Amino acid sequence: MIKIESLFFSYQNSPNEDVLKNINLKVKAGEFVLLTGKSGCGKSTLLNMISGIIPHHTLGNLRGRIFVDNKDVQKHGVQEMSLSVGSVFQNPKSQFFHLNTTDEVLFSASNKGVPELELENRLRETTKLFNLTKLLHRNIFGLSGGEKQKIACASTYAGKPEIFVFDEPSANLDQGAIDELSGILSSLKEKNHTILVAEHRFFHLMDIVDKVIYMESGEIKRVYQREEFLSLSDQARKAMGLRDVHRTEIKKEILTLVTGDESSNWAGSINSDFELKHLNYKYGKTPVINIEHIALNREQVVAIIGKNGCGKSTLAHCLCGLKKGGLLLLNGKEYSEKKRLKAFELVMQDVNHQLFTESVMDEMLLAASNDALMEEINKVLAELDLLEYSAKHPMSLSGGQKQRLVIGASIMAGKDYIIFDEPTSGLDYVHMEAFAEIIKILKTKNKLILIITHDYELINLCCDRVISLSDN
Amino acid sequence: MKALKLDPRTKLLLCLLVNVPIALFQGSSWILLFVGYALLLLLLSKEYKVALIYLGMYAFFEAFGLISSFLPKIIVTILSHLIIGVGLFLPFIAYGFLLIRTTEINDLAIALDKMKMPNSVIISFLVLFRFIPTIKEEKQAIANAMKLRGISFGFKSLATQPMKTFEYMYIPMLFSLLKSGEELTVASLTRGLGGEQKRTYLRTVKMGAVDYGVLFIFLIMMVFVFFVQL
Repeated sequence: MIKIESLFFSYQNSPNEDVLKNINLKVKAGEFVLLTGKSGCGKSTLLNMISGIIPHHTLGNLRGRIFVDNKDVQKHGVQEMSLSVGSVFQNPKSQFFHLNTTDEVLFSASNKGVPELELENRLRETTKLFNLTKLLHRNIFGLSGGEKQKIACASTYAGKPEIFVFDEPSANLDQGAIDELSGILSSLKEKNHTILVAEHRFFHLMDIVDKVIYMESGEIKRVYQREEFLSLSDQARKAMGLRDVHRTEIKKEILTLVTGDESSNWAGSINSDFELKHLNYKYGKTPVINIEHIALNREQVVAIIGKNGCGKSTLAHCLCGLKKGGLLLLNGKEYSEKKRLKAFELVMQDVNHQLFTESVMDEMLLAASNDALMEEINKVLAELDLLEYSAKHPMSLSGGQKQRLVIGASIMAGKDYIIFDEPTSGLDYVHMEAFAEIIKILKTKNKLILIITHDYELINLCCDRVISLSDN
Repeated sequence: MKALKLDPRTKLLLCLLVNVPIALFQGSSWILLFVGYALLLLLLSKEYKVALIYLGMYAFFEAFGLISSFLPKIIVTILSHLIIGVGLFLPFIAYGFLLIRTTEINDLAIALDKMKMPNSVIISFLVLFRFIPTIKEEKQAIANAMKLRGISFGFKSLATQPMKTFEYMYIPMLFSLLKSGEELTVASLTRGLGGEQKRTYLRTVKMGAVDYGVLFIFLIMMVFVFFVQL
């Protein structure tokens, strides 16, 4: 189904650096293949090549041969390839065209000029396979991440490609949505489709995968059969920078807060640094989150888990003072929304929103109180491994560096309460571990750290306790 | 009562037609008739919030005209170009709101397809419409980030340090829109958008009696004002 022979590729803007080197690969019809390896190992590039995005949309220098569904990718444009290959991407936010779910499900089929009668059949078939009845005729912006990802899969499926490529489809999903995604993947496999998935978190694929391709700096290092891959020792796997093959269980104290339940409160020690009371936030008339009492102390790392859409982000926004709600006491003193903005930092999932200036140094100065000493800034930058970049433009940094820069800015602003929103989604083991190290440094600075996350491996590495939000 | 639902072509046509009274009756209070008509259509479509926002906008521009004689001359000169420029097109903006707020992307695509527009035109409209909610989302996220960094984004900061405020807003905005634009392009290409084939649609849109009625009333108003003005 897919045949790649001695393939090399470099992007147009850096022609001397091969991002793919000597790739040789054969995928049979009906095979399920997992591509994995550290960030930047070239797995997304390889997927984009199979769908024809490279070299037709993203330009570069391609040597070697690549055939997909008997078509030479170099000679057929993306639209032609889209008849054979369907793609689903990581970010549920930016792969939609319509506001309406039904139109979106038919988007691909509609673009391919499928006749009207057949469109109706496809809608019916897709709705059945993906169990979409409740999701049709809805506004996409109102769906949860998992539901959006389901619509993306459905839209791709309704276009009837032979081959499916998934680029980190689970990165933004909670555990329940991940299970549903793997259900979808196995029903695609049952229908004998050829499937390639690039993932860092792959425990949910271990039952359906046929072979695993491990890539490192643009090369295929090794191809494992399923059993072979599962028998790798923990040590060997971590050395390869890979995450767990098994579902991770949380090994920390978990407190479950049931939204709307008056009795669910978690009073910590008597003189707590941080107390939140009577938070009852509604969107219009729909209750979003309802918490009676939480008390926490500084020098702690607390994970906040729960399904997509259970109110985790709303809780974060209320704490930071971006939304109104609840009574907040810090060291016994009441904090209004305005004061919360000064005490709390929120490190957003998309840190690009939080970088405003033209250099790393300017970013630190903007956040710092007026009389910050240069020495102090440099010390923080050094701790965060950013010192050598202090003259660089923030947008030229890598994702992890941007994240650390926002952390640095919040240290300079003297904020003692730091909330992270999904900081490790889409990170490999190595980068996730590096993030956990940063959290440990922050903790020693007498801060309270709250991490909204679905990443149980991260929780076990660096969190002290876990708050699980549930809506019954 | 059910919300009024017009064919996208009616709304597009109204957006075009309203330029005639704008050009002919500028400065006359008869122009208010056309603004009122748009507001009426917005209300019938149950877009109360948008109607209110529009009224606020209208009041702001009117108020500027009234107080401009009390403001220092330099400010009036700087602002008046902008305000007169936008003010001129206020009636058009009302019909624009109607089009944008009450039209689903696919209905617009179907309507344009029926008007025998080429694929490239249809796709540009689709992209434009698709980006409006994204811009809104991004703007909200960045405004939040600014608040957390202690940079305010409000009337006061815009008035006292407009350049800085715009810079803080638009640098992250530009980068994140470029990124989501690219991701969106890639996703839609792999879903076959922009291919040789003619797109197909499950449903269709039809001009009904209401559509013709709405257009007819608009034309009557235009003719009426034209003769009164003479």
